[in-house]
Amino acid sequence: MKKLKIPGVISGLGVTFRTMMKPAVTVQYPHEREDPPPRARGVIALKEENCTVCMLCARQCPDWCIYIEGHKEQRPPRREGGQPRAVSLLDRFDIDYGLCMYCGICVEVCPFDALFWSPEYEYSEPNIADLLHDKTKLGEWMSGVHEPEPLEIGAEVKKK
Amino acid sequence: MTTTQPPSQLPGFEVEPGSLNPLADARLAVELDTGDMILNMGPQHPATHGTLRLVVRLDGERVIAADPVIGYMHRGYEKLTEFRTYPQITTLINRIDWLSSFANEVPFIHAAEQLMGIEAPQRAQHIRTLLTELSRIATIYLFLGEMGLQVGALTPAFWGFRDREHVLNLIEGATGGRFHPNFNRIGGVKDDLPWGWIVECRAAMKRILDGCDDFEDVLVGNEIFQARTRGVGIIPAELGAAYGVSGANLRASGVDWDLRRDGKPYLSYNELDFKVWTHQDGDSFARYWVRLQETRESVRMVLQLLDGLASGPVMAKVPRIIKVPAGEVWVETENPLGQMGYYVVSKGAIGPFRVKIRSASFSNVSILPWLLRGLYVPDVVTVLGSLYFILGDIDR
Amino acid sequence: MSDDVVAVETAEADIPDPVVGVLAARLGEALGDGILAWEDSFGTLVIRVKPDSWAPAAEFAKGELECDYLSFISGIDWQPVTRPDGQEGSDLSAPVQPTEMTFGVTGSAGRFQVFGHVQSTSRHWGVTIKSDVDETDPRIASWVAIYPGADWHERECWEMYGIVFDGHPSLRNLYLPGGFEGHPLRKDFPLLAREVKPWPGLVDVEPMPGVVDAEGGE
Repeated sequence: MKKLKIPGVISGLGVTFRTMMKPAVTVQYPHEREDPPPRARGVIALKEENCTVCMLCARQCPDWCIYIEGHKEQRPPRREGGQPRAVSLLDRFDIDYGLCMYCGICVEVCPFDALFWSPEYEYSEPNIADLLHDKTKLGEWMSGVHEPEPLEIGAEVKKK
Repeated sequence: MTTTQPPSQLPGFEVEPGSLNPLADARLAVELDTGDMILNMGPQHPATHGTLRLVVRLDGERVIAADPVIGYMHRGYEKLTEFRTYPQITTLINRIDWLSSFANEVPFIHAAEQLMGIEAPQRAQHIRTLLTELSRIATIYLFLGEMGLQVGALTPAFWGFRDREHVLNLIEGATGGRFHPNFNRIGGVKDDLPWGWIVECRAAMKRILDGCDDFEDVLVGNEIFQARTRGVGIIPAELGAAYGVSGANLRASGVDWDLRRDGKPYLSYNELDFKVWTHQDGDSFARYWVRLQETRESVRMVLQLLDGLASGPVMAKVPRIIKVPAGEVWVETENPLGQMGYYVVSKGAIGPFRVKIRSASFSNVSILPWLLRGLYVPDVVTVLGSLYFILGDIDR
Repeated sequence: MSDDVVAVETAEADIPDPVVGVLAARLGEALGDGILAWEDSFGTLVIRVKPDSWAPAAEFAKGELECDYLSFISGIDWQPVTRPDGQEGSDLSAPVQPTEMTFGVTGSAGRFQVFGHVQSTSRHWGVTIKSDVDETDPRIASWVAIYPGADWHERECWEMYGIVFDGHPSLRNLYLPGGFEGHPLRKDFPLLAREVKPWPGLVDVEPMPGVVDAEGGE
């Protein structure tokens, strides 16, 4: 079927008219919110009881934005007649979110699963210096961490 | 002007080699001679896509000579890579061409894998190809919208951003980051796709195809758009190649060359059936048209990949501490902006010794001193828009 | 490392690329003893030529080998970085490169080299050409007359390494501001961002009071 030769301006106006009839896609933030997907890299949360102050995250961070200080303490032996163990405890675990580039290397290299991603993104501050968050705040963000989601068809099933 | 002579020898437009030097260095006092005007399209300019500074010498409204001054976004990537390990570099190089950031990681990881002699499993290759094509769609779809913006059509730019959000949501669902996925690892990809991703992907591709049809109706047939872009900024094929112009810019001048098909095989492109689009004119309209067809072609490739997605692991067995054996390798890929390549020199450590990053926009912009001569000032904006460079790609 | 890695041997890796040999032979005929070494590096031909043959090699590539496309020209500094390992505040996570000066594929005569890659859009082959540059007086011929795109690549190489290209119309800084001193990509130019800030990865765990540490610290 031969199409009528419509001038380009007119067919463009047709598209504009059709778009005008469709609803707007704008999400009226902050009254409405769109939730990011569960894997979204919003903020890094710290599970303090898993941390052994091994410093791997601070070493592998490309931006040098993790500051860690710790001390050792004696713990009673696990079994009777055993040696008392020394455990390392965190004094200070700060992440400077003004420097952090949200790469996730720290989360990946942590051998003890102490760092997690959370899709939380509403933590902006008026001063850049306030973006240095300490371990209390990082622990609070653990509540936003999602469970690992189910994977697509064809993914390899990992045996735990 | 179909000649391959270097710029300084073209008749009528001779420029003394050192004469533009003081123009670009604003600290020196500049003596203006009468007759010519020097217009500084400064680093902050809506048409220059970022911090590009164009110092043009005008005669009335015609450009006599143009000198792009780059470096306002120079971050020293090649120096940084000498002090970082391979996973850290992967996160950095996302930021070279930030619109198609997944595509930046691919040649680097491929180079490291070649040096190590590892091949990623097939599902990982498919996922990488999927994400590369998605970032190609995201990048070029935005171009289709904002090219209209450069010539005065304000609406398509919003459509470009709106429909691109669907693709970015897909990338975020899989990788965790909309703009900086940081998803490639030596030996595969970091994670598998989440449940429901394939269905969402098909829906997003339908939207993109509808959007491409909208762009065709609104812009391609539009008489004003054609008057602004036809015949403007013609790049002759041999000269473009000699300058290193690549990607859709060169294909719009008739050169049938696409590294996905013609270069060394990488990712899963040898399993796909796709067409390489060229146009004979070489002007700004041709560049727009080629990119429109390429977007549609990328959608078809994504749908093919979704139909044939392999099952299995997404990561090969690699040691915990990755030391890449000594050697040198050059890997080039067809990125959305053109040819991107990494020349990785390794000396057996956990990080490379030297990485030369060959970025597409650097060479695409280097043709500007030749290309802009004789054009009117509004055409300069059209040409800048049609070449489609990203400042991070030029300056690294 | 080789125990852990399952290296998947692909068919490509075993069969040498015949095109590389053909290109090397043709370049050898044209340049004669201008070629110092050549090698097939993962399917790409890398040849190292004498500094006098740097421009003739490009001309031959553009003319006879139909390599109409210039990919890039850059430089490389083979000198190892001297890093203060083990000192207070030093960065132990950055890669440790060999301390003696080793050269890569096709070797090198000294510290500096220029290398460029040209390709053919029609024949789909490419060649990486390398040449040595004298350390005390780094000069080499320019490719601007052959590939006009070499203009910007050579400017970048000049500002990053200090290599002068004879015949270039105007060697001036490309990225860096006018008064910048030094050539940043040289290995003796420090990366100041890492020197200025103390590395937070130092093991900062205090030992328990009253217990003598393994190293003898209190």
